Amino acid sequence: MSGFSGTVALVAVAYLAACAGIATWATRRTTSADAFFLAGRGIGIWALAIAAMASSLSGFAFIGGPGLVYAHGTGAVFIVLPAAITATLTAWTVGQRLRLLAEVRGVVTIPEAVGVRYRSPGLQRLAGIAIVVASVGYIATNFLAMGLILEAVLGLDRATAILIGAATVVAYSAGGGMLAGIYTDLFQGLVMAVASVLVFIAAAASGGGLAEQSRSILAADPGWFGPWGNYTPVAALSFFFVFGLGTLGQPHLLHKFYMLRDPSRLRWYPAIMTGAMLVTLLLFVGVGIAIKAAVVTGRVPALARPDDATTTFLRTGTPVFLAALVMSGVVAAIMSTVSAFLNISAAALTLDIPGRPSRDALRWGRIATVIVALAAIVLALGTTRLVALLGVFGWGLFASSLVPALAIGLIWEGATRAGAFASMGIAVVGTLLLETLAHYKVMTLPTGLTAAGVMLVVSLLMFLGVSFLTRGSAAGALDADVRMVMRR
Amino acid sequence: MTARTIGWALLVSGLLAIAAAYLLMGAAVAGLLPPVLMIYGVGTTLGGTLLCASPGRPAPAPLWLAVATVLAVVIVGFLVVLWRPNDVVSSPIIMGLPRGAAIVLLGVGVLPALVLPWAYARAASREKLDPDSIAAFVRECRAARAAERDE
Repeated sequence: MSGFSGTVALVAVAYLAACAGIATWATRRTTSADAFFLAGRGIGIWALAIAAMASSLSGFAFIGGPGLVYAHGTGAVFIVLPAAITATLTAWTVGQRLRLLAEVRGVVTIPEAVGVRYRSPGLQRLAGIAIVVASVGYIATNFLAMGLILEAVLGLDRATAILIGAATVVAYSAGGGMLAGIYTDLFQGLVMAVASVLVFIAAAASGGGLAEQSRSILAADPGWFGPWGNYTPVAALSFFFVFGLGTLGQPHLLHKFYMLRDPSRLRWYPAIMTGAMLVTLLLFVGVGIAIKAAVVTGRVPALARPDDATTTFLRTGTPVFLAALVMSGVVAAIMSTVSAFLNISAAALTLDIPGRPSRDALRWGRIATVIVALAAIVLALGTTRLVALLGVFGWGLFASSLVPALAIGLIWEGATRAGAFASMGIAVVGTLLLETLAHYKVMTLPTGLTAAGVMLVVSLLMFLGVSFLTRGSAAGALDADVRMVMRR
Repeated sequence: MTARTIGWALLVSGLLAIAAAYLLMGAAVAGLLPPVLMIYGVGTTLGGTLLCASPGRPAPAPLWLAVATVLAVVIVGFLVVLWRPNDVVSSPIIMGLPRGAAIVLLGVGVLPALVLPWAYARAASREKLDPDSIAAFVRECRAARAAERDE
């Protein structure tokens, strides 16, 4: 093992040991279903917001994102550009309402909030199924990514690397539930933020500074640094739409509002979450620009794959300890996302899909966590093609199925059960169909169109249209206490 | 006209604009119309959703500020870079970035972060969310639901 690999492996092992320590502490304190699924509703605002940042940024922010910037220029940044808006949007539209719904009705899951909003166990079940399907794909993609990194860092074969990474995150998720998830997310989020800032400083200083890097890129590939990069304006703006409005449907973020100890502290959520997101996304932009400049000036050979951007920059432009910290940051980003999805899908399997609360929800929650993880491991070890499809499917399905029924439903008393069923039904079927046809190249979407963008706008229009046509039933789908929560 | 009415008008018109942009792209219509529709749609769906979230009472001033910021930054920012002459090579460097990229990254990507969280904190500080107020609210909700069941 080289000096580089040895140091990276040492820091990775220390990082995993720290996660294990937090998990052990949390598992001892997880003695009830409320603690397992909602961390006992006792989380402070700093821990909550930083954990939300960590779980929303998967390994994509550290590996795939800089690679996308390297390949497509400014246009790729439109994926993360709405981060300055989304935390405030989420807090203003659904944050307080979900937290108060938890007080008034004791809701535990996001599908339960949908069911309560429309007086419909069927909608709760449908939302639960959508969450489990999308989560398994998301988790499998992240297991695969974690396996690739541990394979490279620790020199293991890929299957063993996937199993070690999966076993670590499943152990603390099944043992300590959301309490372990939140505090490991907090630790992981801090690692990610520190790593991102340090790498950004190194990236901005490389190649004669940011201005010099820009001049070099403009001379060699001016289109790359145009406002839309190598994308068309509609394609770049479509990213902004899906990752902006679509945030209102991401259950692993919304679920965290239930856990806030003191609802009056919610007012600081946008400031902390937005700041944490912007700081942690510095690496996404900085490495993409720095490595592109290094390639066009001949300091680094052209990359074989865009996803090599971060690792190439770390090997050529940073001290070895920083490289090790960033690789731990990548694993941190992946693990925090996986634990959040394991928790919400276990909750959906235990509480939402069966339709009635289990007598021993804590035990079944732990069993469900292991079942979801095993399904994702089988997928990750099996076909990478299917994993890639399911990974793409996740964000878009959450957005198109939950933004209308949950987010718009909580701010519009005129929404109806029929509208929610119609939008959620078309979201599940349409997203699966479009993504599958596009993935297997049976159908090519015109340039600028994404399946996620098309299905988000279709499901929203379907929700508004069907609710309007069935508006006579709107009052009957809303209990008095839920109406009071919506109006507060 | 209430804040919510304006919000719904923005949200619905924005969704229709995005749908129209996608249809035009599907029909391979080139030119400025699809991106202009998309820019309008992206800005107004975000701003409209914020306004629709306003409760029944008059919307607080910070909410109007947040909506105005989103509409101005997203719609004006993107329209400026869409219509700006294609002078990327001779573009001045602003804070290390070419002008168009600087408007996108620093204008649209960072500017709202300086206004929106502050506006939300101002508006939310008026909410009564201390333990006693929440307990009273929960009691009111339960009473209202019980009364509804009795009817």
